[in-house]
Amino acid sequence: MENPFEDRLRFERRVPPCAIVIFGANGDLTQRKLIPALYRLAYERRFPPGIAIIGNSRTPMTDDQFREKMREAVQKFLEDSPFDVDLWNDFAKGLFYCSGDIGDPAMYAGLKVRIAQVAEERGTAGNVLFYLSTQPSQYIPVVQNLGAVGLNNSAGWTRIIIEKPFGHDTESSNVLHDAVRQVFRESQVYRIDHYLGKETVQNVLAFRFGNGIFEPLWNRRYVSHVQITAAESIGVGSRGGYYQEAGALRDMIQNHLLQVMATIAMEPPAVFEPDAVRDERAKLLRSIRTLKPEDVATHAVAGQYGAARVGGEDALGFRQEKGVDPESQTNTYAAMTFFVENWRWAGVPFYIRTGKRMPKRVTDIAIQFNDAPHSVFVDAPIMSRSGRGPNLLILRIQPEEGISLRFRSKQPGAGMRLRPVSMDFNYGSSFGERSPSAYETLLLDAMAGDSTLYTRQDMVDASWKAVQPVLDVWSETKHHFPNYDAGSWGPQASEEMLQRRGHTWRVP
Amino acid sequence: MPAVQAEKLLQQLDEVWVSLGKQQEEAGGVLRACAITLIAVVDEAADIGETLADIMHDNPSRAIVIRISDDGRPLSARAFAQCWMPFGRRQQICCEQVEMAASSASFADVPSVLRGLLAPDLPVVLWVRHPDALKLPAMAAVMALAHKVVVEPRGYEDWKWLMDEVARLNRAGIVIADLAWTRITRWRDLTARLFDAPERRAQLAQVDRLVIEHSSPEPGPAVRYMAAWIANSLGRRLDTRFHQAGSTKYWQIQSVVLSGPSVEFALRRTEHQVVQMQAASLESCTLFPQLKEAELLREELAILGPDPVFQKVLAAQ
Ligand SMILES: NC(=O)c1ccc[n+]([C@@H]2O[C@H](COP(=O)([O-])OP(=O)(O)OC[C@H]3O[C@@H](n4cnc5c(N)ncnc54)[C@H](OP(=O)(O)O)[C@@H]3O)[C@@H](O)[C@H]2O)c1
Repeated sequence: MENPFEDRLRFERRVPPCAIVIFGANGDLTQRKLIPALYRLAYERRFPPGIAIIGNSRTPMTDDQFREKMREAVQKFLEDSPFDVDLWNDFAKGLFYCSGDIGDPAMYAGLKVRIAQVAEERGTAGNVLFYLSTQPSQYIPVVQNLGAVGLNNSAGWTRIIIEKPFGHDTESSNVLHDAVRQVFRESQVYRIDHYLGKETVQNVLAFRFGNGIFEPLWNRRYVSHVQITAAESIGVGSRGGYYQEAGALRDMIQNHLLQVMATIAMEPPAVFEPDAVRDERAKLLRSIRTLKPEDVATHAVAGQYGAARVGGEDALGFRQEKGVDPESQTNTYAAMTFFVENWRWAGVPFYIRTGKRMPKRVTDIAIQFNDAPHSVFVDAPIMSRSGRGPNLLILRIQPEEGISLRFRSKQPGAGMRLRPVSMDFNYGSSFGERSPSAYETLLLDAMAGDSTLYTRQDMVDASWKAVQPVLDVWSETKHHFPNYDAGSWGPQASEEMLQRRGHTWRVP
Repeated sequence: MPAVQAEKLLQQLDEVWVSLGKQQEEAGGVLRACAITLIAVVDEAADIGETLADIMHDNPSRAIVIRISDDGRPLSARAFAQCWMPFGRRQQICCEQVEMAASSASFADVPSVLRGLLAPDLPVVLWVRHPDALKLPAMAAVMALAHKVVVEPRGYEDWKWLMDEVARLNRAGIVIADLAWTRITRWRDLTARLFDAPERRAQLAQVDRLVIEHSSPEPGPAVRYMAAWIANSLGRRLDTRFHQAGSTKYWQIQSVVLSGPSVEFALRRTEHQVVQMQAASLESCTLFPQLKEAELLREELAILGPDPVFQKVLAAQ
């Protein structure tokens, strides 16, 4: 029987009660993102009564000590909503803690009992959502141990959320997948890519498929090339040790930015349903041309920042950061040229770049349209850097979400002078409502069983394959690092990569 | 030549933009934003500046405010812009506003001016905050311009007439919203939540009684809508009682209790704007912060088409 009081037009989507088990509950991600997001969902009345959260890590704590610790975390990291004591007390009743080492099989027997107790007490109907917020090396043992005690199935549904990285190359990603597959069905696995939870990335779908005017232009006939930029102004900070193993290509391009590219370039799905959308994304990722080793040098650029003065201060180079090898060969900047081998995009380069210590924090996607086929304004001075018309559509992801169209207009006054102008649409100002954070969206989706914004193994695999040749060549190369100054837009070689096709990087 | 001309007002708006743009040139100009035309019919002294500014953030609009007085004044109008600086940005965002003053008599001149003032190709929402205006003969012509009409019964003495009028307009095919209905969305949402759990849903068949407590001498529109909605959703009449509990400036629902021989499901307002949900072993609380007028309007502006659940409630009146 359906709920007779349902009103889909007015009510927010509700999720069934469940127990959320967080491994790594004493960690940074849990305190900074997960618990504040869960509290915020309770604040917004998005949770059913009876939700339970069970934390695990090694540090011994009672339920009350765990609640206290999480309260501090929420008060510290909660963004733009008030902390309410009554609500917190109600929320905290659903918080439990179960200490133990995730390498220890005996811990899982205890956890199983605890989950059953909590299910009884809170009425979670046997639904369980596991969240792996631990170091990636622990993913496989956790999954195996869950399987060993039968926690991979329950009276209700059982799902598992895995944080990136999903392996560090094609092979290790397959090893992880094989281990997970032994215990969980693919439909139970939610691989989180928090970029896909961002409003603007979702908005790309609304923009492309909700309007009839852009899609006809969305192909090789009208698009000259696409530039995707994800720049950060900060360095690696305290994550030096972790970052050194990963690098920009693995940390950003392989996962987040290829997902963004897939969202931009995929074919329209027949229906807006999780698997239909993911099928199209996966298809696109599989159509990315695999580079031959000899093409890597012309299609990919690695960079690492060196010390420089930035804004009147001395900024460290990567090799001087804490925990970083002074001879490190890690890329803190990576740029690649991708081609999609299908009818829509044949021959259109997709340039993707990402870096640390860039002049500012910005993530955007620029669709560069072709110039007018014949310029009637031959003699008109064009006031733009490249000398070409802007003809640009920019989808901004951060910091200010929105869409801009850059086109030419006549400069007022006598004579025909053209200048670029910008037409802006800001989500923030047009829809001033607070957007949910990516973690709120994604957690709620997982509880509701909606996997649209989660990646599937075939997508993970395809995106590793797209960058694997570069990883292979770079691991054999001795790079001349540092090759860009902190506070600049990256190495010169990256400019040259675009110039070979007559293009230039925009200044975002 | 009529005293108030749409074209002149539009011209004034353009001038406002040019001069704003000049003033703000250094800071990157101003952003002119418009997603709807919002026509607000208010009484002469109404203070809706803050509400409008609030709505503009997510629904940048061309706002046309029509103030109605009892004197015999002729129609007059002026145009200006409302601007604000979003947090952390350099560029100001501005929305345009036209303010008209009319008497009950000169209101007859309003529709012809409005026709030229609507922002092209965008939805038009009419917000009648001064319900007496619904009795003016020219109102039908104003309503005909709107995609949706929103009425506000709060503080209106003749609210029974207004409820009938809302039902009548609904029957006449007008997309109508009543903020009393909007005010109970979260009560309805919590009611639905109570019955998300299948075991509680199974007990619904036992429910035969509904008690709603309210804080006004008489059960106002919100209370009546709530009761009608529950009966409609269940598809049967319940033994329904309304009681007064406490008193507040405006009517408010204090509790909703559904019960039967051996079951009880309750939503009760406790202090601190908290509502407690209770059923057998279940006990949970939710925040009900004070709703601002702008939040109610925002909910309505997000639904520009018909609201089938409300239409059913109205049809059952
Ligand atoms: N931090 C971020 O912002 C962020 C962003 C994106 C993705 N991620 C990913 O999210 C995951 C978690 O990141 P994190 O930064 O939160 O990691 P973290 O700070 O290292 O937290 C992991 C927690 O797990 C616990 N732990 C470690 N070994 C354990 C063991 N053997 N048994 C039981 N508990 C153990 C530790 O607490 P005890 O000492 O109490 O055991 C530790 O606090 C990682 O996969 C990371 O790549 C993180």
